[in-house]
This record gives sequence, structure tokens and C-alpha cells, in this order.
Amino acid sequence: MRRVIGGIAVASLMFMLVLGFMQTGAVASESKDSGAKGQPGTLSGTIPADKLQKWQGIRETLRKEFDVCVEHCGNDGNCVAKCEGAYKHRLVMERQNLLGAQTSFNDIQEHPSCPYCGMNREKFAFSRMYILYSDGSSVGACSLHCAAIDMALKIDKTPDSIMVGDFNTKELIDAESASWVIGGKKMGVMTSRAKWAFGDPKSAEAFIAQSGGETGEFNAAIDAAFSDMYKDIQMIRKKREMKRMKRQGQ
Amino acid sequence: MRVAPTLALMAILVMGTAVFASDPENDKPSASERPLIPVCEYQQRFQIPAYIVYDDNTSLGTKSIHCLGIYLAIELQKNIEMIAVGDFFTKEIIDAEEAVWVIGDAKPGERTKRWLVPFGRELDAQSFVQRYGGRLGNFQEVMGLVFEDLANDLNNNLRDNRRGE
Repeated sequence: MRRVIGGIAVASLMFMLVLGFMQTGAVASESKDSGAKGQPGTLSGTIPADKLQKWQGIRETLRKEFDVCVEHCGNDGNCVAKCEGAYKHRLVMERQNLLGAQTSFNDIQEHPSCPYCGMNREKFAFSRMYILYSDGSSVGACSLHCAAIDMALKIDKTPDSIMVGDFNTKELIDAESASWVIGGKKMGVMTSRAKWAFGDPKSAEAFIAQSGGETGEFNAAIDAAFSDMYKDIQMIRKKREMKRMKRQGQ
Repeated sequence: MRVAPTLALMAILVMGTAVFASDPENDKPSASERPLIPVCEYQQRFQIPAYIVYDDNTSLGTKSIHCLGIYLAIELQKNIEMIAVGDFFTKEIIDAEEAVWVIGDAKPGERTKRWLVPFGRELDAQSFVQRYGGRLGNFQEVMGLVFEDLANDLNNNLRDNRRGE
């Protein structure tokens, strides 16, 4: 009788043990998939909820000032570009003040690594990007490839300011008014075809004279980034498939 | 006397159970350890279930072909075992690369510019084309269009933003 009771107890405990294993396994696989479901807000430096209203007020004021500035420019493109530059710079600075940052603006300190590939943004300062969205959240990426991924994922969000590291000086410059060089001999970051930004168009021309490539505006760089994404995926998969087949053949 | 070993075994098993059957909430990695991919906002548009299965037994799931394209571009370092989508007609999970796709222009007002609809059988795809229009295509062509859409949407967004719209 005792044996039977002991056996039942052991069996029930074994069942619980197996159940425990299964539970842990389920959680593990769930956590793997949770990335796709997403953790909104965890990727970027977000504005705390209690400061969000104040941020929207600041943004609105700056936007109005920008609109007035543009009105005064008439059809002068250079003047509009200056207004845009000043607006974006002030957005970043005001955000810094709002968050009570003790140090001056440093995007690498705010985002030391790229949230998509994990690469060190200081090491890739010459290609890094910084995006400030209208809700006050920011993202620091290693390259246009990862920045484009971020903006595509958040397609319903408005980027207020998109900045990129100047290829030569590594200083952050406005990505939309920068001179971009697409292609050339130098390998790109996260892609085979490079996309580099220069604050001075003459520097872009000098780069092309030495290393090749073509100049383009930001929208051309975005087009190139997305068209290269699929080419790179296909190339990587093909290479891996060939390697696998080689291994199997041996 | 035979009770003693049974009790000892029970004690070991209870301890084992306590270790492994812990609260699932506590087993989840902390926020900083989780893969942090933001919600893909394309999912709110035309919806087709899609999955990427990697050879390390992990997977990514989404409800949009455009999000599928973005996820493919994020996890470049992982080996893809299979890309799967939901058959539009049978609702079964099928291999996206083997599927027959219908590529069509959406009607005005629809939250997508293009239909990119997968079918397991060519017959179903053809009858869809007969009824709703569009043309047949393959996965490679579809992905090319997906990345074209992503670039166009982003450039349009930035242009509208510059105009203050």
C-alpha cells in the first residue's frame, strides 16, 4: 500500500517537474518572439510622460517661429535651408534642456550603440545617424541602413530632425541638406554600397575624385538604402546557401 | 523503512519542481535583455500574416509583408530556415518563396498602395486575378516592390513634413 502511495506521489511530482520544464520552455520561446511584437519606447530615448505636454508646447512654438522665418525668406532657398537648420538645432537643444541634461548635447552618450545591429556608434561616428521624432523620442543608429529601418518601422511617426555624422569631420550635420555620396570604392556600413554624408559639397566632390561614387540628395540615399537592403539580403542568403552546399558535398 | 528513500526522492523532486516551475513572469528576461524591435506600423495597413523561421529555432512574426521586408533587413546575421506566409484563400501557412503572388493596385481610399497577396495554388491566384484584377508574380518580385514602397513612403513622409503637412 505504502509502495503504491509512494509511487503515485513520485509520478505526480514527475508530472509537475515536466510541467515546470514545459512552462519554462514556453516562456523562453515567447520571449524570443516578443521582439516582433515589439517593446515600443524601449529603443529610444523617450520624453517622460509628465514632460510630454511641455515638449509639445515647445515644439509648437519653435515650429511657428520656423514658419515665420520661412515666410521672410520668400523664394530664397539658402535662407529656407538656414531657417530649417536653426529650427532643428533648437529642437535638439530645447529637448536637452527639458530633459535636464547636465552636459552639452552628445548623441553618442545618449545612444552609445545602434539598437538594430548593436554596433558601437563612436567607432562609426563617420556614418552614424541621430533621429529626433515629433513626440520627443530619439534614436541613434550606426548608419543610414539602420536609420532607414527605424523610420520605416515607425512610418506613422514624424521625424523632426534627422542628423548624420559628416564623413570627414564626424560632426553631426542635417541629413536632409547634406551632400550625399552613393557608392565608391570604400565599403559601406551595414551594406556593400556605401552612402556617405558631407556638410560641404566640395568635400563630397573631393571624395568622389579619389574613391568614386555619385552625389545625390537625401531622398536618393534613402532610395539606394532600401533597394540595397534586398540585394544584400539575397546576396548573403546565396553565399550562405553555397557554403552549406559545399559543406554537404565534402 | 522503505518510506525513507521514497521521501528523499520526493524532497529532491519538490526542490527540482521549485526550480523549474517558477513563475513564468519571473522567467522573462528583463526589458534590457529582450530583443527590442519596435512595433511595425505597417501592420495597421493591409494585413497578411508572415513569419521568418531562423535555423536557431527562433522566429519573427508579423501581419504585414512590408514588415516582413524590414525584419529581413534587421536580422542579417541570422540564417533563415524558411519564410512563411498565410495563404489568402485557404489561410494555411505556406512557403513564401514557393507561393504564387498576386500583385495589384489598390483602390483609392484603401490603406495600402498595392495588394501583395500570396496563394499556395496557382488556380486560386488566377481566380483572384479574374475577380479583383492584378497580375501573377513571385516572391522576389514582391520583395523588390516592398522595398520600393518603403523608400517611397519614407520619402513622401519627409517631403510632407518639410511642407509642414
